[in-house]
Amino acid sequence: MAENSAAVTFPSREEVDFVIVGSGAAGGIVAKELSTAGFKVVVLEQGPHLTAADFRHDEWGIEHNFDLMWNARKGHPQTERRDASETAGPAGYGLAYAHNVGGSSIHFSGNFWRLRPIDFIEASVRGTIPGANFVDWPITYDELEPYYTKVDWEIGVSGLQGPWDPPRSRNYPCPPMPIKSSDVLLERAGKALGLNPYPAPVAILSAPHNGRPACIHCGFCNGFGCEANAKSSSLVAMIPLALASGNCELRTSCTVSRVNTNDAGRVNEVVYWDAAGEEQAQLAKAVVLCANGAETPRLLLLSASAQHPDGLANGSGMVGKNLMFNGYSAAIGLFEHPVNAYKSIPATRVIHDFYELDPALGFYGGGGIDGRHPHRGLPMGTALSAGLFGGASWGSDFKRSMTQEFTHTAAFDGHTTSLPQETNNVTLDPDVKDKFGRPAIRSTYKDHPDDIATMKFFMERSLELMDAAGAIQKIGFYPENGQQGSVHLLGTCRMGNDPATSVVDKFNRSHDVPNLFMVDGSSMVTSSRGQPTMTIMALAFRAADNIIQFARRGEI
Amino acid sequence: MNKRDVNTAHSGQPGLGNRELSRRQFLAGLSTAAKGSLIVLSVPAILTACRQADESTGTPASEQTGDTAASPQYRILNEALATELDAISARIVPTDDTPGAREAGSVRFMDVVLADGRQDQLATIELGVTELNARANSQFGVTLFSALNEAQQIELLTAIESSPFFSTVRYLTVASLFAMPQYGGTGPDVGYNLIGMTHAHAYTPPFGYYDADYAARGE
Ligand SMILES: Cc1cc2nc3c(=O)[nH]c(=O)nc-3n(C[C@H](O)[C@H](O)[C@H](O)COP(=O)(O)OP(=O)(O)OC[C@H]3O[C@@H](n4cnc5c(N)ncnc54)[C@H](O)[C@@H]3O)c2cc1C
Ligand code: SF4
Repeated sequence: MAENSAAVTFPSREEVDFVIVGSGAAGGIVAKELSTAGFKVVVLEQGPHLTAADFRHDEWGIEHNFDLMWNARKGHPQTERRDASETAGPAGYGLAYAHNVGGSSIHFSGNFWRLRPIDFIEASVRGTIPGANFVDWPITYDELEPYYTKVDWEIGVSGLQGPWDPPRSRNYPCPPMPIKSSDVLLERAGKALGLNPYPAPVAILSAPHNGRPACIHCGFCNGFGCEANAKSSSLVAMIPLALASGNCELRTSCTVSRVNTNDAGRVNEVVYWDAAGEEQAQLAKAVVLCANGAETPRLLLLSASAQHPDGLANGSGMVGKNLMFNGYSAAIGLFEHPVNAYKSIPATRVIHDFYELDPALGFYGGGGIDGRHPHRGLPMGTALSAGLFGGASWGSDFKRSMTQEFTHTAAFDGHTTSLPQETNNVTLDPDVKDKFGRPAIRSTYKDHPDDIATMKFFMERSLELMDAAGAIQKIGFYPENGQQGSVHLLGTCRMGNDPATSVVDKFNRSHDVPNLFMVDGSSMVTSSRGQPTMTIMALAFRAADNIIQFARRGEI
Repeated sequence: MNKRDVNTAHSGQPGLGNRELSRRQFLAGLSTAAKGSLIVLSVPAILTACRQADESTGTPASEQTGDTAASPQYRILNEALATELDAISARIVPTDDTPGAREAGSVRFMDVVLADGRQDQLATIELGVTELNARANSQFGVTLFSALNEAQQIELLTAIESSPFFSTVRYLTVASLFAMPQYGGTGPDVGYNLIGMTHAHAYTPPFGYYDADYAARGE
């Protein structure tokens, strides 16, 4: 645990320039940008400030006790349902994220795919899709490109520009990560099928950069914090710079309950429970919500008042709507020789030949396929599901199946689009409360039929790749009845030019409240091809850049 | 497991057959904290049940008092239950030419994690053990499962391998092989040694056969 996070302290009853709620992938960037530009910033983060020394290869603690991700066991229940006609029940997986400084960027796998120019204008190119709220972004790839490059260099991304990649103004700062056996199998299979596998861009350092060391290939990566500081989280890439600015106070274990407005309809105060459970309130000239696609809309809905009866910044009625997850599929293959995909980072090659599926297929979608370990390289996880290929799942032959499945398997995973739908959303549960007495998050989510068709398509391609890779045995799957719960929490305060249909404008400013900004996964207009965080971070750099200019011109 | 099993196992589809239910339960053991392959797919049935128990009483399970009188050497298990769990876990991961559940301290692990907010799983286990002993009695005329011979034990467990009870004990037994010692067992070495895992915190390429070959061929 970091020593006292506060390099500077601000009195809560004096206005600071900005309060930032949440220190995750986006919040860490906004904190660093605003504080190093000279603004007085208070960051309120509900979780602790962990450091590399706190991160362990403790599979039971992380995966089964949910040490990093809070849930009902820790007093944070959620509920879920498929559509509004159902009464929501306790969420299984829920809208999941890591509760700590750095948010989910500390335990993500760092697959950092930029969007391509088509992603920003796809709705007008493809036309309307029945049942979906599919629209163009209010910005273009060219407008975001400088900020993608800022992410590459300031956050730290490793990769290699491919001839079919979107144009970039500067090369990657670090070369690609060394290829793993699982991706040798993918690359050879892809080439045999006439596809174009290439090095996966990842927010993990292949070489020292910005004072941080290269990855040591420990393998406990996806779902775990990095003990080497090589994974490019906002915890290690941004927060230290924010604290060093002398303008940023990071208050941890502080859970924000609501944002108050004054008579002029401007936000002026952020109310929260501190580490001791005491209610506090910080005055601010402006507020930036970076609490993610689940908690930002929840906070806006919780901040309803006489002036804003349907929730703060919700004149459009779109707060919480258009929740998107990203789809997935997989094929798992058993191979003759040791693959040992449990070593190193999750994925080192990706196939993007199916980025845009042919409209002639009759459904909308697209994505990418990468090579991985079937169980994220986890020994316990592998043993618990061992027997996938018909081997024993207990008894004397069980030891053989678990060993084989740990060392001799590879997975080819599909990561795919989710269409925005108004009926997929985050609302406040009418009955269930969290430990603070706040209404729990209730998610209503059903994948669009095109999303399911896309997942099936990707599973079929992965199975073909398994054959081409020479798998001795293979299995494939995708959530054929649709997903419930995810770690990609997108679209719930969507960005747009029209205040009637979107929550924030193209600079992430609330259409309704001029000194309130929402900067995190919630502003995504479309879902990305399965890896949204590169874009969430680029949007955060862009929003911060604009907020600084507005503030300097007195336009907030 | 065939493809259909995998799909239904993850889909949460109602009306699953017993065999599939068992698969579901067992995939329940799969971690859910992240995405990728099998992971996100499985809602952990066991943890969901735990949550439901919490929510229905409004009290965190960890604050509920169980009616089991724990033996002094355990936090929550009593001696009789511990003896049966020891026998069952030794069939799930037997000790043969390599160590198994006993060497991993499975029962102590179960005691620690069941005491940590998992009392509803303890209830499943207690009921399951009672039923298993009843089967031992009706089928073999012996009142305790642990008193049966190995073949008889395997026969009885095979008959119930689709039950939530078996899945729960299997989940905890398998997990104990790989859990750190602070959770009551002897640490992850028993499991790690079985599957060829080490405590190395750093690896260097080549990682496996195929990337070594790739490098050798200059691909
Ligand atoms: C295991 C895992 C693997 C992943 N892998 C990838 C990947 O490979 N590629 C990819 O693109 N994405 C990946 N993701 C998703 C990625 O982590 C998220 O998209 C990203 O972190 C979202 O950023 P954010 O800023 O919107 O929110 P977050 O990073 O979730 O940050 C939100 C922060 O706000 C805090 N907060 C919330 N509410 C409050 C409140 N009321 N008061 C105070 N603080 C609050 C939270 O504690 C948190 O720190 C992965 C996620 C997980 C869980
Ligand atoms: S594999 Fe590399 S980046 Fe991932 S946690 Fe280990 S050292 Fe960090």
